[in-house]
Amino acid sequence: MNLLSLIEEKKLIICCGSGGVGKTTTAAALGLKAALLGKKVAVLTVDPARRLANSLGLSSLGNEEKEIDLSSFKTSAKNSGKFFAAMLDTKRTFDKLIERYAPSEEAKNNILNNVLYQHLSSMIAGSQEYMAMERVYEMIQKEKYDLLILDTPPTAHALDFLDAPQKMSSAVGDSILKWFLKPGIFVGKNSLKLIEKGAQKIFGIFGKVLGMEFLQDLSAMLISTAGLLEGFKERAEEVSRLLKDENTAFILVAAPQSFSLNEAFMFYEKMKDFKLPFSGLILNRIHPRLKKKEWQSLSGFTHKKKLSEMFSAYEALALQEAVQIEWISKKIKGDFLLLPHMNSDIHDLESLKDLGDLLI
Amino acid sequence: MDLTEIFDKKLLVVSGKGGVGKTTVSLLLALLASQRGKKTLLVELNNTQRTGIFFGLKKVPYKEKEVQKNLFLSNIQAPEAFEEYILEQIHSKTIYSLVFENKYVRNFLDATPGLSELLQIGKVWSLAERDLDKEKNPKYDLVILDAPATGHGLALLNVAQVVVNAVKIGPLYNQASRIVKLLQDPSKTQLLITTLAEEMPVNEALEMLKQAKNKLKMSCGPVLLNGIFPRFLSNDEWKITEKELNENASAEELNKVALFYQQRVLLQQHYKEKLVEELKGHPCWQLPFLFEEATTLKGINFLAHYLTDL
Repeated sequence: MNLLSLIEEKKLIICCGSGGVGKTTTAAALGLKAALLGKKVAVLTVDPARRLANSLGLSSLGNEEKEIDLSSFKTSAKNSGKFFAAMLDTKRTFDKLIERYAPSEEAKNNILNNVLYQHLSSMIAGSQEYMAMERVYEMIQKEKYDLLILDTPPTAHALDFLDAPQKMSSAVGDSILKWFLKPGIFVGKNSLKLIEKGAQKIFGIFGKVLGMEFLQDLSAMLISTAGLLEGFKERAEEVSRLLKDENTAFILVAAPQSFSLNEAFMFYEKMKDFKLPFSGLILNRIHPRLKKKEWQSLSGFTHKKKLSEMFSAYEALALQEAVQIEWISKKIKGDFLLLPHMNSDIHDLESLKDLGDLLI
Repeated sequence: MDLTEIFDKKLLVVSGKGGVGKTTVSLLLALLASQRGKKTLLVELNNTQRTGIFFGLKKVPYKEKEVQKNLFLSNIQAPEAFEEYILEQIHSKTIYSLVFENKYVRNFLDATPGLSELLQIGKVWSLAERDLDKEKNPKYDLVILDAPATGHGLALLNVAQVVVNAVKIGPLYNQASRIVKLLQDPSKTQLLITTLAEEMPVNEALEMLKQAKNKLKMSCGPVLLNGIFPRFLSNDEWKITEKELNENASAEELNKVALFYQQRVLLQQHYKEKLVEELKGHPCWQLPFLFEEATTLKGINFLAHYLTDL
C-alpha cells in the first residue's frame, strides 16, 4: 500500500479496525510522518479510552486540537509542517453545535438547561458516533489543515460511525420526530391531541411503555431543539458526501488473529455496500515465521532443550498467524501492508517517528 | 484464588481494552462454572459472533442455546430485545407490527442515543435476575457477559444510571432502577477487568477500575492478566545462550527471534510488576499466552490449568 501517496493526496484518512491492533498508534504515526513532510496535519481520536495522549507522550488531550512540538525533529527551518491532536469530547461538541445553530439566545439557554438534554448529551453511548462526524466536519470546514486523520472506535461501533449520517438524516426527515415537534400535543397530564389517527395510537403505546411524563419531557426538549434539526440533517448529509469524497481514504488496521480479521472483513464488506473509498489493509503485530529449520537441531547450545521449546512456541504462533494472513488475503481485494510485532511500546514522539518511517 | 466466590454471583461482566482477550476469559469462566455444575449462560452483544465457533456453531442465536452440559450461549441485539420488551407490555404482535415496524418509528428509534445499550443491558438484567420472580427456580445460576471494550463497556454499564437520573418517574424509570440495583449489588454482580502486560492495556485497566468504583459503583473482582509468555530461560541461562547465538554465524535469524522473545518476557515482567503495584492489594490472576489452539476449546481448557493467583 502506498501510504506516501495517500498522505500526499488525501484530505481525510479514516483508520478502522477492531480494538487493540494499534489503530490509534498507526493514525498518530501517519500524522507525524505527514507533518514532518511539511503538511499541516490533525489527528482526531474518538475512542473514549485516552490512548492517543499516551502515544504522543501527553498527559491529556482535549476536544480542542493541541499542537505538538516538533522542534526536536526539524532539521531545516523551511519545513512548515505542523502536527495537532485532539480527542473527541461528545458533550462539548454537542453543546457547541447547539450554540452555533440555536435560532436565539433564549432558545440556546432553553436547550442547554433542559434536564433531559443534559443527561442525554453527556451520555457517550450512541451519540459518540454522531458527534465524531460532526467534529470531523467542523475540522474540515476550518480549512486549517492539509490532512485530517481520524481514529475510529473499535469495529462494531465504527460501523455505527458509517451509519450515523444516514440515521441522523432519516430521523429528522422521515420519522415520528415531527409529531413530537407540534406544540400542544399534550393536553392535561395524560392525554394527547393529534390530528393523525395513527399518531394518536402510536403515542398511546409509547406512553404506556415509556411513561407519559417522559414523553412530555422528550417533546419539550425536542421542541426547543426544533430550529436545529434541519441544520443537523443538512450537516449529516454533507458528512455523508464527505465520507465518499475522492479526497477521503479508508484504511483498515488488523492483527493476524481470527477475531480481528473476521471483523476487518465485515468492515470491508460494509464499506463496499456504502461505496466508500477503501485504500488497503495494514496487518500489524505479525510474528514472521522462522525460515530455517535449524531451530529443531540446536546442537552445541548449553540450554538446547529450553531454547528449542522457546523456538517451538514462537513458530507455533507464527504458523497460526500465517494461516490467518493467507485467509484474509483471499477475502480482501486491495493493498496490504505487513508490519512486524515490535517489542518496544510506542509512547513517545521518537518511537512514533520510527513507526512512521516503517509505514512509509 | 477462589473461583467459588466468583461463581456464587448472578452476573459477571468481563471488560477491558480491545484485543486483551475478553472473549477468551469469558469462555474460560463459562466453561469452568458449567463444569462445576452451575447452569451458566454466556452472553455476547452486538452480533460479534465470537463464541459460537468454539462449539461448532455458525451463528449464536438471540434465544439461549445449550452447547454442552450446563452451558448456554446467547447473542443479544437491540432490535430483538426491543421487540421482546414491548411485546411483554402490550401483548399484541399486531399492534407491535403496526406501531413499531413502520419506517417512521424505526428511523426515530435507530437514532435515539443510548437506546441500543439500554435494551441490551435490560435483556441481560432479565436473564440474570428476573426469572427469580416468575418461577421458583432461577433459569440460570450464572450469567457471564462478554462486554464491549473499555469506553463502550463503561457506556453500557452506565446507561441505566443516566436514565434513572434523567427520567425520575414512570415505567422507564422503574426498569432502569432495577438494572442499576443489580449492577451495583456486590453480592450479585462483579466486574472482571481483563488486561495484557503492556503499557496501554494496563493504563486502561487501572482507569476502568477507578471508574467502576467512583462512577459505576460496581464491585470489581480480580483483574485478569492475560497472555503472559512463559519464561523458558532464566537470566543466567539467557546470558550463556545469547553469547552462543552471537558466536554462531549461521544463527542470525534465530538470534533475532530469541532476543525478541526474551525482550517480550522482560517487558511483560515490567508491566506486570507495575500493575500489581498500582493495584495495591486488589487481587490479580494471571493466564498464559496461547501459542496455538487460541480459537479452540482445547486451548481454552488448557488455560484453565494455568489460571494462577499473583
